Amino acid sequence: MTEVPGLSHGPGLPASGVPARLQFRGEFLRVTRADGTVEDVLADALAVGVTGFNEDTLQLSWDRGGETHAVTVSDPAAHRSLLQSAPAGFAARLESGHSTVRYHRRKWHAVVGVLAGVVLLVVAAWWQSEAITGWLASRVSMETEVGIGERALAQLELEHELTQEGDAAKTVADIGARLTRGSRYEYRWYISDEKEVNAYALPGGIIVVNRGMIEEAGSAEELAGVLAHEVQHIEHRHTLQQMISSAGWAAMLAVVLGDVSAITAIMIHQLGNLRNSRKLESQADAEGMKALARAGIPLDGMPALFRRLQADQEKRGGEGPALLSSHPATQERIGELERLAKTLRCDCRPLAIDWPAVQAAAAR
Amino acid sequence: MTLQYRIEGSDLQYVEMVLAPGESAVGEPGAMMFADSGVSIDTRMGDGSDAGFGERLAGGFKRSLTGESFFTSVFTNTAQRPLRVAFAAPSPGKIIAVDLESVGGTLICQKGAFLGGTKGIKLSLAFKKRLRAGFFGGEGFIMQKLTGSGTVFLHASGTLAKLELRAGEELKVDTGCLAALQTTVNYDVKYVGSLKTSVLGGEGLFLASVKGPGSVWLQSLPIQRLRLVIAGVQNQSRGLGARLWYFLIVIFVVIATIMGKQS
Repeated sequence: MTEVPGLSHGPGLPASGVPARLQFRGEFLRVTRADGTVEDVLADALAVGVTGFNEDTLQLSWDRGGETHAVTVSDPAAHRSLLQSAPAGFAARLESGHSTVRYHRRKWHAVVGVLAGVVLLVVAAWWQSEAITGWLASRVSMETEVGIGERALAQLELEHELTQEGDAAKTVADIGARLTRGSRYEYRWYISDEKEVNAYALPGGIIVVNRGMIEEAGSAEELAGVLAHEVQHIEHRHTLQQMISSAGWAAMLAVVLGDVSAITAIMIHQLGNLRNSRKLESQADAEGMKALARAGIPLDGMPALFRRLQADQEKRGGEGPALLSSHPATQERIGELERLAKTLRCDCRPLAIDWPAVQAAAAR
Repeated sequence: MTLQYRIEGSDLQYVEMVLAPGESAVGEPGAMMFADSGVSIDTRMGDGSDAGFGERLAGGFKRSLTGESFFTSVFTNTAQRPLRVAFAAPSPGKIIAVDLESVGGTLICQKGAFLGGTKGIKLSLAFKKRLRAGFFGGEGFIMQKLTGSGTVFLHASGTLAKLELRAGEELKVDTGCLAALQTTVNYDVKYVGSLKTSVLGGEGLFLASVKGPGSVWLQSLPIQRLRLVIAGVQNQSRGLGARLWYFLIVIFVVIATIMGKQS
C-alpha cells in the first residue's frame, strides 16, 4: 500500500501542522507523524472536506474527545493514490471531496477560458475590423442604405445649398451616367455651393461635387476621374462601411436591425471627416480607372489633377485642399494611377464638353 | 544549519543575520542596512538561484509581478569567521521570521512582503483563483509564494500577529489585513452580512475569511491605509465619501433590479 505525504493538525500539535504520512490499512487510515506517533482512524469516522488557498487541498477530519483532528493533503498526485487505496465504502465519499477540488480547478479554467476568449474576440475584431464592417455593410438592405443617404442629404441641405439645376450639374450628371451604366443604384448628382476643393459620396447613390472642385479641375476628364473614384465608394459601399466603423458597434447593430433614425444623425455629423482606409482608397482608384476605361473616357484626368494639387500644396505650404486631406496624394498613389492610365486598354475619346463654359456656369 | 538572526527595534525594525563562513543570504535590492566588510554583494536576476538564464529571466518577471524587484541581492560570507548583514524594513511595521519547514515548506504572503532570507528560497507567484477574492479580498489576484527550506523574513506595516486556526475554525478579517497564510488555509471573501453594516459599519461590502487548519499572519495597519493617514487624508476611504458611494451603488442596484423586473 502506498503512503502519501500530508500534514497532521490537532490539539497539542503546532497549528501549522506536522508532516505526516498517510496510508489506508483495511478500514483504518493510519497517520504516521514525523515525530513517530501513529494514529489509526476508522475510515467511516472521517469527514471529507476541501481547504487550501485555492480550494486545492483535501482535508480529512475526525472528532476525538470533542476536539477536531485533521490531516490535509495538497499534492494532486497524492489525492489520486489515496483515492485508489481507500476502502470501498469510503472511496465514494473521498471521491466527492476529490471532485470538489477538481470542480474548483475546472471552474477556474472556465473563467480563464472565457476571459481569454473575450480578449481574443476583441483582438480579432480589431484586427479584422475592415472585413467585419465590410460584411456588415453588405448586410444592410438597399432601402436602409438609401434611407441613410436621404437623411444625410437632408442634413447637408440644411448647411449648404445643393442643386441639380444648371449646366454644371447637367454636365456632372451626364459624365456620371456614362460611368454608372448598368449599376444597381439610382445615382443622383448635386453641386454644392462650397468653395472647398472636394467631392464626396453619400450612401445609396448620392454624389456631391463642390463648386470649388469644378473651378479647380482643369478639364472635364479630370472631373470624370474624381467622379469615377467616388462612384466606386458607393458601388463597394465604402462610405457605409466607414460610417459603420466610425459610429461604433452599437450603432452598426441598429443599422443591421433597420433602425436608422437616431444614429444617422451622429454619422452624418462625421461625414466630412470620414476617411477611407488606404486599402479602400486604392480599390476605388483601380475600379474607378476601369470604369473610366469602360465608359471610354480618357484616363489621365485623375493623376493629372492629383499631381497639380500636390504641386500647388508643396508650393504654397500649409494645409492643402480638403480633397487631399481625405485622399492623400502620395507619390506612390499618383504613380499607381499613372501606371493604370498607361496600361489599361481604352478606346478613349476626349469628352465633347466646353469645359470653360461649365466652369463659368458653376461660378454663377 | 539554522540561520542566526535577531530583530531589532520596535516599530521601525531591522533584522541582523549572522552568516557562517560560506553561507549566503538573499535580500531585496535596497533592503540592506549594513554588512561586514567580508560579505560580498552580488545582484542577480530572479530569486538568486543558480538556474539557467531563461528561467532566471522568467523568475525576474514573476518577482516584479509580486511587488518585488526584478533582481535579488545575494550576500555571501567570503571570510573565515561569522559575519553580519542587516536588512531594514522599508516602512513602519514589523519584521517576522518564518521557518518555512515549520509551515510545510510553502508560505503565501501579500505582495511585497518578502524582505530576505536564506539563499535557496524560491519566490514565485501565487495566483488567487477566485474572482471575488481577487477583486474584493484586498490582496488582489497575485500574492507571493515562498518555497524551500530555511528562514524567510517578512515585513508588513502595522503590527503583525500570528493566529493559529484549528481545522474548520474560521476567522473574519478586514480586507487588506491578511499578511501571510499557510497553504492549508482556505482564503475567501464573504459579504459582510447586512446592508446596514455594509453601508454604515465602515468595513466595506466584503470581509476576508480564512478557515483553518493552519497559521495566518495578520497586519494591523495595511500600507494603503497608512499611506492615506500620512497623506493627511484621514481615513478617507472609510469616511463619508466612501459611504456616499456605497449608498449610490446600492440605490443604483435597487433601481436596476426594479427596471429589470419591469421590462
